[in-house]
Amino acid sequence: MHDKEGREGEEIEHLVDESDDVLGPYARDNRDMLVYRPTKYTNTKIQCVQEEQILFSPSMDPVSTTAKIPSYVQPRCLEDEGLFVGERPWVSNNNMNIMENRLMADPLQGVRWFGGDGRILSLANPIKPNPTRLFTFPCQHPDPDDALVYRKVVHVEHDERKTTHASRPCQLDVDVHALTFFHHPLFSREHMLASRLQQLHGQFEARQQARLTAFLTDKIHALREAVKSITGGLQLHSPNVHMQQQSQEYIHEIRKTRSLRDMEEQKDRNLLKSILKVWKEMKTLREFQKFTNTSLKLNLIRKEDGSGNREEEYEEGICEEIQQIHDEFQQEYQKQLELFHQHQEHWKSWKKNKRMKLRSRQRRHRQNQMETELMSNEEKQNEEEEEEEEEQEPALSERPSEFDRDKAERLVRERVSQSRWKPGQVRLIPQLSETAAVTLTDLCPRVEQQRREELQRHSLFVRLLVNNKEVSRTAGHVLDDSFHIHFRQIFNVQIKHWPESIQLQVLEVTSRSSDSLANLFVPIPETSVLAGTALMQRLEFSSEQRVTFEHEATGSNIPVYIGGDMAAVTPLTSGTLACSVAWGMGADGTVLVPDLCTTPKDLLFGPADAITSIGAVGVTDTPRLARWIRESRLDPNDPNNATLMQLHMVTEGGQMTSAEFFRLEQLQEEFDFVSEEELLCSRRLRLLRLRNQEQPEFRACRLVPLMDREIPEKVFLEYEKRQNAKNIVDIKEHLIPHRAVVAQYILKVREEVLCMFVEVRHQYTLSDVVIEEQSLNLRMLGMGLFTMAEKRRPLKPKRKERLKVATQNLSAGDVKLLVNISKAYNLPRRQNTRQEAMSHTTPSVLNTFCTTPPRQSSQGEPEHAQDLLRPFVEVSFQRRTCRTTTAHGPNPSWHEELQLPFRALNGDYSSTTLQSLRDEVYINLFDELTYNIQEGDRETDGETHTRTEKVWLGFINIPFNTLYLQSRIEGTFKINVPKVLLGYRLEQEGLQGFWHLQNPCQAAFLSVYLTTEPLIIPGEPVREKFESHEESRLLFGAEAFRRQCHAAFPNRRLLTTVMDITGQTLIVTRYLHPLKPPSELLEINPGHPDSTVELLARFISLIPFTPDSVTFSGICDLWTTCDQFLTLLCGDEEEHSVLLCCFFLALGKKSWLLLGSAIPEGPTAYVLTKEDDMSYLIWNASSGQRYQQFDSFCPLQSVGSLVGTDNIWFNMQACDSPMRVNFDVSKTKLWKPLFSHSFPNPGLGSVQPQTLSFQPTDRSTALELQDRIEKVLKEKVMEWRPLQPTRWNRHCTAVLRRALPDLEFGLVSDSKRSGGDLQHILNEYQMCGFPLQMPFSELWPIVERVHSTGVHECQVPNVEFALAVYVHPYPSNVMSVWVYIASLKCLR
Amino acid sequence: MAAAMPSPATVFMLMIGGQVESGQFPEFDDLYLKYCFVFGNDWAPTAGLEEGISQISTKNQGSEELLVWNFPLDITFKSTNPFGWPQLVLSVYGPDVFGNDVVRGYGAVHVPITPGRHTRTVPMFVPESSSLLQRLMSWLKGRRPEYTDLRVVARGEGREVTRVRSQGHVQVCFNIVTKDLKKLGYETTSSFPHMSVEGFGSSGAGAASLS
Repeated sequence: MHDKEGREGEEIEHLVDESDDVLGPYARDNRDMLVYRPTKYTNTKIQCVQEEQILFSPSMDPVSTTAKIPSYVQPRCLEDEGLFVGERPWVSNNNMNIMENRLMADPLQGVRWFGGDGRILSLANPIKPNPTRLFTFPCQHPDPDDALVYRKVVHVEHDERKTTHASRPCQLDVDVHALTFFHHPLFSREHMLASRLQQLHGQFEARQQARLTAFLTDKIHALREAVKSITGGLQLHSPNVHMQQQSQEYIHEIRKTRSLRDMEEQKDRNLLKSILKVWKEMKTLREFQKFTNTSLKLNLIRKEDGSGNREEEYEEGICEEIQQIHDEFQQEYQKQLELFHQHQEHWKSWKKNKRMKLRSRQRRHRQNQMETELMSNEEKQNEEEEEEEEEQEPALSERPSEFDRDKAERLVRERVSQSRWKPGQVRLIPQLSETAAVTLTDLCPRVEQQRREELQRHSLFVRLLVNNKEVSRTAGHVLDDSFHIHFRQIFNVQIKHWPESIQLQVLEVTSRSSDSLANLFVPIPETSVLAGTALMQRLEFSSEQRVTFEHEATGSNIPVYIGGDMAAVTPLTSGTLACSVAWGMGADGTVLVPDLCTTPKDLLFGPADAITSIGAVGVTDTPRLARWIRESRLDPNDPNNATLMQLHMVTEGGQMTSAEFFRLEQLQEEFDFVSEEELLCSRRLRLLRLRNQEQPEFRACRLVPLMDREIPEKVFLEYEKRQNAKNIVDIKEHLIPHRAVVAQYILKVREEVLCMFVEVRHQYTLSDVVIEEQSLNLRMLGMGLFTMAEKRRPLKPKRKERLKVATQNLSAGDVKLLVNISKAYNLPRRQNTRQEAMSHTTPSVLNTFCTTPPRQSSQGEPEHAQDLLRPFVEVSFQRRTCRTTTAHGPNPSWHEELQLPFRALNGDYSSTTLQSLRDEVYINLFDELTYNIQEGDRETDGETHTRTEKVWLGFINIPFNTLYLQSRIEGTFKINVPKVLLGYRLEQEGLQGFWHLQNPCQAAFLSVYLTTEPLIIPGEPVREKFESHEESRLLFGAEAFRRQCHAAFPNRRLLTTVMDITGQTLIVTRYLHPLKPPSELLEINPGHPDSTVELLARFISLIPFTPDSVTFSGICDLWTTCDQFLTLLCGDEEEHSVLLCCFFLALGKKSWLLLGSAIPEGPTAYVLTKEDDMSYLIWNASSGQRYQQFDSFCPLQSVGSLVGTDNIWFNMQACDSPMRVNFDVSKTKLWKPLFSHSFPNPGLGSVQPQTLSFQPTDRSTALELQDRIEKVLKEKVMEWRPLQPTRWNRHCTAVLRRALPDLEFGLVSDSKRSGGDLQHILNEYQMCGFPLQMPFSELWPIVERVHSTGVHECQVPNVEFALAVYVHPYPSNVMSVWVYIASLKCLR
Repeated sequence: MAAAMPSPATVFMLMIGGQVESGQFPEFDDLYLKYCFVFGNDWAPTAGLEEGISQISTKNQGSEELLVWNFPLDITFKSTNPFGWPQLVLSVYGPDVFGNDVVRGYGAVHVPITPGRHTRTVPMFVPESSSLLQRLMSWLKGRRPEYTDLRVVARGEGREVTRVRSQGHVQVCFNIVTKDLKKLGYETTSSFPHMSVEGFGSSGAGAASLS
């Protein structure tokens, strides 16, 4: 080709030359020249030949193996040698052949592509059968054009195992197969030998079966071959370090294996020897004792060694061993020799040195002598030492001896002959048979006969215990001469949980006693061990029990001489029990294994763990495992071993050092935000944490500062104080120690309830989250549709919906209390004149309101309308007051709206705070008195100075809590008028006729309407989602009943279940139980049942009233039992009513607990009693008042349900007003009972105690309390009058103090006692005051009450005050507190 | 003295601008939207509106069925704790076949934590009626189930008791500016130097040097 181009180039050159002259200078540039040439043609044949020279097309014929591997190498198949070779990727044979041919085309390099087996070297197929990576969806947002196919949802049956794991029975099959004794106390000597023989024979058999020697011999052969092939390779190739090393290793291993083999063989021989020895002993024993006990017989079978080349092999082995010893010796010898030469060299040089030194020293010595003698001793010594050192001459080692072949051979042969069978030697194979004839009992000596008799008396059985509970036992089996018992019993144990232990007890029963021989714990099987495939386990046991017999039997744990020259042995009772434990299979093939979640270790997830994947369970010793891996030389290429190898690598890397401990929460420390100490130290984190726990102090905390330094330390003070107060009973704050303890207890319960609520508050139901119109049934659905079609009536007045505000959106100043005072009835009237007052026959403080403030014209003449009442109403709330205008007359009407600001505690308007507010709204009624003040002679000037005074007439108190929970209170209330109101009297003239008949008690009434602006939505009451001890059937029945009643009359109150103080739900009727009232109270009026009943009501009303929401800070109804109530000494209407009802029941009255709603308390509980004259009385237990059924001023507005001792009735009548309700509960149409024929009362017990114990209250405590209250109140009054001096009139105080007990007794007994000498005072002073009576709970309500009367506000100069306190003790620390406060103005 | 010294930052600020852009509610039309922010105890709005209610938007008759509100959001929070980071809660309302106003979707999204412009697509859902009968009634009466409190949408608590149905998407765009967040030790931007707001820093430095 080159030639051709060259020619062409020449041609062009030539052309250019020719045209040179024609074209002139242009022709020089031959690039512009275009040459036309004919197409070249090559002959096809020639071209084929040419192509054949270049191209190569491999044939598809297979290449012969010999061509692919070097001629001197034998083809070897790695797989056959036991190495792991992965599966090759599949390639078609044709393609393979083509590739091989292609590779073989290169004669030099081609062979390298092939492995020892003549196939192309290739990696194992990397494609795994299953994908290991999760399938990812190609796109997150599917293309809208993609067509979607709708498929109906198919319900997949739940895996039964997962859902009903608890109920599904699981089965454990325990197979108790057989029991064999190695020794038993009843063994005769012969038996002992027989047992020995059997054991030895068993061992021998096992060894024969294992064929350990044969295996090891084969291994030696294999290794020898390997060494041969390596050494062959070594000769051919250049010596390879790696190969050399390998061959060394192989040789080493051969040696090890050989010694192992020899050892095993020796063991075999020894075993055989001992078998023969025991058999011989046995024979002699049989001869000696002249009878045979066992049927054992040993036969020896001769076996010629069949293999012919055994001898060669034997010799070969010896030679090889000698050779190896020689090789080793040679190596060692070389080393020794080298060492010897070194020593030699060393010795020689030392010798030379010594000679040199000797010469120099002699020279120096001479010099020294010539010089001075001043050489220090030290130096001299040094020199001497030096000399000594030099004199030590290196030990001259012996020259190592040459290898002594004969000696080595002798040694080897000796050893081998000891351990190995000689070739051609006859082998003996022992065989045991039970063919020997046992001597009949009659022929035996006496002792033996006794033994056999004894044997008959022994029987054995096995007891199976699962989780230490006996499950079953086998039948008893009598022992026979073979001491081998076949039980062959399989127990199917039905279990539900993973068993803790499976135990087999072997028990021996004799006529006299039975004792346990052994306790065997069977391992709990893996879940993969199934019945049918389980292997029989042999569990060995032994016992140290000492047993001796008089007769032939050897006993146990005592030395026995078997006979002959044998030493004594001390046999222990021992044996094996063959048994197996496996999991049962169900009829449908399911494995009856308890759920895995209950297993102690998750064994089935084995593949995740390297160790369990190889079947080793419970291996925890990783270093040992690693050693095992190293020594066992696992094939590292086998993927089955991959996890193990990985583990091994990790262990090798030293990273996996097993710790001495394990972590419960792994890596917790690493993920901790900060350390625990830091968390405690940091104020901010602490604050955030407490807020998260919803501690009341921090719940309203907002914008917690970022830096610790910005948080003052005192933030926590209150909280810490509360926490500390938990444990310390502070007596000082409370007046009686008992109160302190109770307060402490309440605090604790409160804390618990609070915790419970915080928990419950975070559990939601659908109605909490979603507003949905409820339509319960089709009827209501129809009604709903009907109301839609109803005509609009725009003129019908409706109550305007006011804006409702959720409490969390409130802030201070937003909320106002609205009080609308409309009118009052029948207020006390003024006593007209002093004369009229004097005209009363007995001016007494007690029975009439007669004493008048006698007025003198000099002091101030009241106006002429003096006798007319000028009442006004003052509302005080949170120490703020607001008053109406003054009206006239005893039946005034105001129709005024008063507004009072409302402040919540700490500005926290959350519902929990609001509902536990204990502030009360006091509505006080005053009479306004106006006096003209005469100063000088002003009257002539036409100027009149008047002074107004207000006189307290009565009050109504409504807890804010009640208002909050009901959001509005509306109604006519009875005004609490003090029993003694100086200068006023309650008259009944105004209420004649009907009123007089129906309202025998003197009372004044006030109509008010209270609400908040804006309307605060009270928090939802906490649903009772707590546990219960009641039967679920009862609870369901009660719930269904409640729902039915609620559907019929949603507004009527019904309680079927209530919560007790521990949060357990109980049926209400359990609270009613006759309880005997305190005997002290019953004894006061023995003959008057009516007054006794009243006294009881009064006693109960003296127990302080506290709403549950205040006590337990959460809207929930906790019912305490009567004894708890009397201990706590506080409770709400329910507790009062329950106690009263219980007392009434004990007195034999027919009484019920009446649930309904009343004003002002809203939903409440009253007590209903049926009197002898068939009339009904309604009792308000918390105030002690009773009302006739037809009393129009009864605060009870609606009757919801009645609770008796054995049933609950719901009011199904059209009206619920007590006046219009028929209280005959036997009429099921009017009263729907909870328990009926179809749903009978199961006879519920009572939660109340059988009897109540009432401790008499200490009189001295009451006196002490009395003094303290008086002191505190006096201080308070003085505090409230900061500008004026407060003078106390001692005389008056003393008089009042005397009068107060009479008041209490006047109330409690009908005996009328004459009043004290108040008259004297009234002659001298104008007195304005009244006694207040209240139950005693704490000090502050008393102070508040006194403050609200406003007596202290008297501004008259020279006013004097009188204050007396009387505390009357009732049983059980119940106290009645009387406070008499009065202001006195001197008349002179 | 306190006035003279620059007091160290005690709160960080988060300014949120942006708008609720549009919504996709197939089958529904004439919808309006209410938004509110829900935030933790340590957060307080300093400026702007916490709640808002948009105009009614009608769908375009064309191909793209988009309800456009373009309702602006503008609020600034101050806070001391990133816990309780504000969430925007959206609720969409519109008339049903009888013309009753019913809820068409609830949705919530956390306000982005990094400064800059972010667009979020909020999937919307409505609570389902508890039974078929209820469903019929609610359809007839035009009173579909609603959440008692919008905060439920922004909260995990109590959600397990409800069943919801998904219903459309709303696009919201936020422009976030933060102040003092880094100074108080909270890192919201990437810590890589080239990713941080170096451009702002350098320009700020330039401005400082100029002045």
